[in-house]
Amino acid sequence: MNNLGMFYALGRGGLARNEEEAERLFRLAAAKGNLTGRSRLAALRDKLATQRGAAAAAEPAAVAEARKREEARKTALLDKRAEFRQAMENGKTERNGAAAASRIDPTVSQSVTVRAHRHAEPAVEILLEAPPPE
Amino acid sequence: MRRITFSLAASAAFAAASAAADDRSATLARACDLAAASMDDTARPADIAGVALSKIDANTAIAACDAAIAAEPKNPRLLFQMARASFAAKDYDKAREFYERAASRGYAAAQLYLADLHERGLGGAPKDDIEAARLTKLAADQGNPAAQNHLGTLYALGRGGLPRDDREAARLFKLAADGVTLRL
Repeated sequence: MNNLGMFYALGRGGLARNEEEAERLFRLAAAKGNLTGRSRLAALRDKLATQRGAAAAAEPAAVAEARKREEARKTALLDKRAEFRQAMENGKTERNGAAAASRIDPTVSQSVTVRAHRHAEPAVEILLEAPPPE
Repeated sequence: MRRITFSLAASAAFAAASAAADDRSATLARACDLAAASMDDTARPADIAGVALSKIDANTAIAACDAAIAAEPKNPRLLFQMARASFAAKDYDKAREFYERAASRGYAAAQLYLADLHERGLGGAPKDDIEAARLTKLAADQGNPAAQNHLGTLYALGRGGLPRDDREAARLFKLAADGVTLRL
């Protein structure tokens, strides 16, 4: 039972990892007076208690982290909308400037890149072509 | 008529003597069981809990099993228990002799314990992992949970000339656990 318990604890031999089943088997072995079963049961219980304690302690932090991420996402979205609006404004200005410059100097780049963001999606590059020289 | 009466009386006397001998054998065997039966022996009487090797009172067990074997010289369980008693007394040569006698009669627990002697090279048995694995498999094939568990360990470690095979090990561990659970 100890060995089967170890296999369940480790997920070996084609068995799905199952610490509850491992604990049950170690407990059965220990109940029969098996010293190895007792020590493995104690070790597994320690491990499970540590894991459960860590999970319980980590829960508020995880919730706080999620809230923080959500707030950051909303702020970023608002910023990006503002940035996009600004970029559109700048793009118009730059396009106008580029068009004016191209009239002056044909070697000036005829394209303007504006980095725009849609909602919370990853950054998408939109290539705004400069209007052809007039 | 007198002859028939005599014959019936003789038969009754014989039956009574035979029953008395059986009772005596059973009493002696029970004393040997109480002193040296193994928890790994699924063929032990159902009401006998078994004694750990380290808890055997060697002198008591040897005396009890000696008397029991005198009454039933071919009983493999008694031979096996005498081997355990001898092992407890650290007389490994005698332990091996009795394990071999019981194992040769196909007694699963004796095959398993003899395998242990081969694994450890005790009692004049040459250290021989392959022979140990063979004996363990003989016992496991008879459904002995301790042997199934040990054979599983050999597969898990790839010892005794067996290939390392976790799946076979898990199968054997399950069989062993089921066998032990059923007996609890």
